Amino acid sequence: MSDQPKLSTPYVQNEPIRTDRLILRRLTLDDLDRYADYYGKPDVARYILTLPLSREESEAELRTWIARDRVEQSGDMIFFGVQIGGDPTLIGEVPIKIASVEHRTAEIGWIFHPEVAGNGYATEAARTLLEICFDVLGMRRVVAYLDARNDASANVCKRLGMRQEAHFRENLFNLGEWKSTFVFAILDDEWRGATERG
Amino acid sequence: MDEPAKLNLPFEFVPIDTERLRLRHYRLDDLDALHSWRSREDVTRYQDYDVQTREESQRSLERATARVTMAVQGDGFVWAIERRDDGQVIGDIILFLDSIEHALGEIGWTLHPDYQGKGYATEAARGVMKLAFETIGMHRIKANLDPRNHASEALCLRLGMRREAHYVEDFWSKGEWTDSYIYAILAREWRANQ
Repeated sequence: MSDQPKLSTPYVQNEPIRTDRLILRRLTLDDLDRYADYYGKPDVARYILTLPLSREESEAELRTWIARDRVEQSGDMIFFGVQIGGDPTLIGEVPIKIASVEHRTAEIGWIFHPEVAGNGYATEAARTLLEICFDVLGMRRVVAYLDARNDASANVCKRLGMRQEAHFRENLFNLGEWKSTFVFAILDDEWRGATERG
Repeated sequence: MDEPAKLNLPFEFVPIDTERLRLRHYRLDDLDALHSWRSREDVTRYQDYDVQTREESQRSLERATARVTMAVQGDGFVWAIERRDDGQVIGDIILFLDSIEHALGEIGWTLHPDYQGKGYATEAARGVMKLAFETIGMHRIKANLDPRNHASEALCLRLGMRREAHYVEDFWSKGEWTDSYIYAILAREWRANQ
């Protein structure tokens, strides 16, 4: 196909990853109470295109993602659970998905409990995802999709140096309404330039 | 609450007649016509396929003729664009079903360079959009194009489409990282323009 570098895959979730304030680690069944708590909230579901989940649905979802701990092919996705320092309480999750092996593109996201909003945790966790994508996996491009009304998430993208590349009008029908989508993206050389400038 | 779109599926292939054109199902004897543009570098430069051999064009033709029903995501139609006055096949046009849940479609067109600049692609695209919105019941139609393809972009604008995305270097094509534009139009915007 091309003489482009190959991805460094498979990538397997192993040791917890520490950031300034957070730990990104594997989800466990001990997270169920908190997981079901935020997935049950309509204001969380509204922006992530799912109905609010019952506890049973949350448990099924959580078990699905606990079982997936590696990415290798296009479409593979893993979720990191996020906690603050040594406190094991789950405050949210950050997913990485291989969007395209051929085009070395990943998709990232973030879902946090509303009670921890406004502390920069999503930005801090997502910055770690970008490091994994570019420095570990060897991605060339990373994208994020978000509800066009989700100002908080758009601001996370901007703080990460991502560029808004799309505003799709009414491309999703969910929970009784047509929704619009933003797409943000960043390339590896842009990421490195931003990182070097500090 | 908004109304979800109600798609009229499964939908069987239909020909479309416009003022100067007949959009019809490809036939296996259209190979000469199809290959006349798929073998040209100036046509394939901005497409997602390379210049084709006659055998590759033959396979493309066979795939196109096999598409007769739109029922599930990924299904689509390919119409040969035939000029009504002389029966000449001058290009083709596609409509694909991107999503049933969200009633999304994608349109795309190719015209032999000898027949460009005469409004044929616009006329064909209007015919397909009318079918997509008014008969199949799609909510939104997009077109994906290479930003260097100015003729296609001009056509999107004539159709009333809006540029909704500029993806920077999102795919590797013909030896280089390439950008994409996505244009789109909603059913109600289409109706308002009629």
